Amino acid sequence: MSFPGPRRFSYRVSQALWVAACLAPALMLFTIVVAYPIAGAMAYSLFRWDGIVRGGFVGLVNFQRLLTQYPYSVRMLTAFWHNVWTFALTMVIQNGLGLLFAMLLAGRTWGAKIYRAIFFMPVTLSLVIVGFLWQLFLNPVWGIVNKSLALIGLGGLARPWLGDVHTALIAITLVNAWRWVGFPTIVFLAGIQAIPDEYLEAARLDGAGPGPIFRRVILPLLAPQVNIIVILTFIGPSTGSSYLT
Amino acid sequence: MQGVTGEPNHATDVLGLLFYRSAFGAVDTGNPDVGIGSSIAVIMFTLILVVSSLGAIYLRRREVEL
Repeated sequence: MSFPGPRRFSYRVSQALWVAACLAPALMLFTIVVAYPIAGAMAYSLFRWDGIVRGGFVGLVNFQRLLTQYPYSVRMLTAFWHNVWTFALTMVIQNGLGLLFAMLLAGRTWGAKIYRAIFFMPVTLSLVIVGFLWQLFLNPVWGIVNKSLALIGLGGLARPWLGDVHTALIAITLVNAWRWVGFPTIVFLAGIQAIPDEYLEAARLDGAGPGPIFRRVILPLLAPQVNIIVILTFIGPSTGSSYLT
Repeated sequence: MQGVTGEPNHATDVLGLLFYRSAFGAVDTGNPDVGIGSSIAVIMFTLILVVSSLGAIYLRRREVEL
């Protein structure tokens, strides 16, 4: 970049200034709309609160209360382990199935395009509809899940899925996995289709079967997608407890 | 589906729900307390930041260049 008039800055400095000037508007917007509210919300945890009225500054007392005072400490620990459990189950079931579906859809499966749309359909459904639908399905008395179990002679397995302490979280996690399974499927499918055919062909010519091709060729090349999906899965259940409300 | 208290008996309670409940509702019989809710959110933020970064670093190392 050359500026008119006498040159007051060295080339490097003027270049840096130019970059800074171009970044400034976006940076300012980001600071006002994103960074400042986040910092402000975090600062809330350092104050005493009476209902929704902010009291004085108390430092880390809120954290201390959260981790030691009775209802909070117990609830916090339960909630934390439920988060961990949900994450593990979602990783195995939702993302495992997603990878399996993506592998099947990437091959020359009959009707792959239709199945792709079908798998993605629940993702586009509204949260309220999914919740309502599965509440009907899982109804302990006349829900389709328990009725089907009874129909195939497994009536002994029927239970109030959402009302039993031992099955409620699993049921919720599975419903969530049912809704979101299309998402990892699409992401993995895009990743698999982006792998050049030459690699697979070379592996095949070297005598690799489907197993080694998947483990040694496809999976390493799919690492960016796996990365994204793992992070999103970790964030998902901790923040989006949407089914629970 | 399970209400704001994570019924039955907190079996479906997760951090995001606990955060909402303590900030705007009530934990058990307590009063809404934005301070407590906010500290839960800060802990969640830290947790997600640390674990996601570790995961991202680990997986990035396993990525191969095309």
